[in-house]
Amino acid sequence: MNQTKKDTLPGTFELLGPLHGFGIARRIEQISGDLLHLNQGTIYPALLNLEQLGWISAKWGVSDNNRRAKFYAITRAGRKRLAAETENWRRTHAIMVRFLEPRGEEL
Amino acid sequence: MSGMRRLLMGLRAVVQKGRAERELKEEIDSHLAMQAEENERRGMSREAARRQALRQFGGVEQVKEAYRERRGLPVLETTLQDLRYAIRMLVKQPGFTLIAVLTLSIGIGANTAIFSIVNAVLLRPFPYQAPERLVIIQERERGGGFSPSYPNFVDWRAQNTAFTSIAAVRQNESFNFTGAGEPERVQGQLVSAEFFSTLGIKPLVGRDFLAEEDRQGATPAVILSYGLWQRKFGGDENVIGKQLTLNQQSFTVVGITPPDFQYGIEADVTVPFGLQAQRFSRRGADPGTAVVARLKPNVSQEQAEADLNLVAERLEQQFPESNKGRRVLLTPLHESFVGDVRQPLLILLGAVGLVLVIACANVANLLLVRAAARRKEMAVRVALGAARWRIIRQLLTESLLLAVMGAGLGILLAFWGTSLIASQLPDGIPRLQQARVDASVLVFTLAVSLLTGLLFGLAPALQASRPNLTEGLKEGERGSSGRRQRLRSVLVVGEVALTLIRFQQL
Repeated sequence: MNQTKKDTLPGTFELLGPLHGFGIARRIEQISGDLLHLNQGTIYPALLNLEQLGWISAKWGVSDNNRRAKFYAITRAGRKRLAAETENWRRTHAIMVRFLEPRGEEL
Repeated sequence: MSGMRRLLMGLRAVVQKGRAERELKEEIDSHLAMQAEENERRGMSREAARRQALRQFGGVEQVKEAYRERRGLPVLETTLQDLRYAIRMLVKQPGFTLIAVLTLSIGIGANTAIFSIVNAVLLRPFPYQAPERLVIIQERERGGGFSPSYPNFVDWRAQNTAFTSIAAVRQNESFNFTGAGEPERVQGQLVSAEFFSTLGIKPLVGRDFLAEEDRQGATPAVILSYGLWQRKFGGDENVIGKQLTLNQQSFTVVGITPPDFQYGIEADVTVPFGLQAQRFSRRGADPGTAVVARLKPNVSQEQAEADLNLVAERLEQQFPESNKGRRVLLTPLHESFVGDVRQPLLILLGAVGLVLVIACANVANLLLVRAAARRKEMAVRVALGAARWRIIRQLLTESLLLAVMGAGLGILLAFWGTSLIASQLPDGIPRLQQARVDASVLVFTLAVSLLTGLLFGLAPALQASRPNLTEGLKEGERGSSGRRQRLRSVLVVGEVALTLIRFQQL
């Protein structure tokens, strides 16, 4: 996988619907239990990359506080990609588990 | 797919640069404000909240740079940058720019004008069906070719096996035209019945001549040119069947030729050759008569010539007084029409080509002088880390811009110059009136101007961007170093040599 963790943001959208950059950054911090402290700003080039790949779409809108912000939502292509990446990740994880916790008969 | 999207997004960012920047700023400001609000809600003061938000964000400028880098199209952006800089540089020195552009415009304009003539006369294929299958047939005696006689043509037509059709045409016959409006003297031609069909031309209105109409004593028929039809009859299709009088003889109009039809000398009226067969009853040479034929599909010109020579031998037996030693000579139609003018025209093209090269040498010299004055600018750019190739690219952009401006002005000059030059050329050059600056000529001009720009721009660009520029940073540097001076001398000597060669040719 040549994508950083930040590039697999689509998972966040699944739960929340369209969200602006700030909301996404805060959500990532929250979900990771505040263990993941990224510089929030780095999210923006990543979001642009996802937009260029066609996995998210962007639209200007108004936040709850009446602030103008750009809202991002996952696209159908993005959903497909998310499913593929998730499956990939699960498989990788399963293989790693087998190596890190070998059962008796394999030794 | 994503490549396309990236390209489009990048283009939009370049074209609407201001808007893209504003949106980025707005998005980030909005983010910072929202984080600051959250911090305030947690109990921080407004100031502290704001500062903390910035800390949480990370470096704003770095983020913006990373964003711009990802969004941008570097090639397009640097090219536009080069272009803007080049325009600024040229506007800063209007005198130099004006001289360079004028010099180039004369060179490029002359080339465009001559090329449009070459294009019309030599390059454009003749407007007939499969013109490469058409040949001109002359009689030959002891090597020289000359105009055939009508009776010989009639026998060729009857006895040949190599041509799908063969026709005779005699141009430069003038007629007194009466019977429609003002009487006038018109240009006419005599053709055998197969003439138009041999060329593959169908009449616009009406029909072609019939074989029966092409003999002595037949009811006289006439085919009009499109121009005459419009002029004298207003394009009325009911002219078919009308009578008009040529040289006191009554003719029936049977057809009109298409508007763009041209063969040799333009003719307003076309009448059958056979009507005047008595006038052309001798088998001797007959200047003014020409024979054009279409080769059968799988027959080569040599085979056709051999075949017709057999006919000529038979005629020699039959008519020993007139046809002794007579054979035939076949020439491709294209060759026959333009063969004589090809070399002089190409020499003319070469001459203006040299004019352009001289112009390039002049402009290159100007650029070199200017480069000397810009040494400091170059040195600063190199010191700031500009790659040499980048500097060369920017200088070439200036040169190409000059070339394009020269070409623009040159094309305008060529519009006017083409007809001027054409009027100065000797008579008898086929299709000369059709010379004009059209699409293919413009393509030629574009190619020439790009080559020109590279030609005069490359050496100065390489020269100006040379790595050893520390002297440029020192003050009070005037005069030129040895290498630069030598290059200029080479250019001047070369220019004088070329000018001498040109004068020799003319």
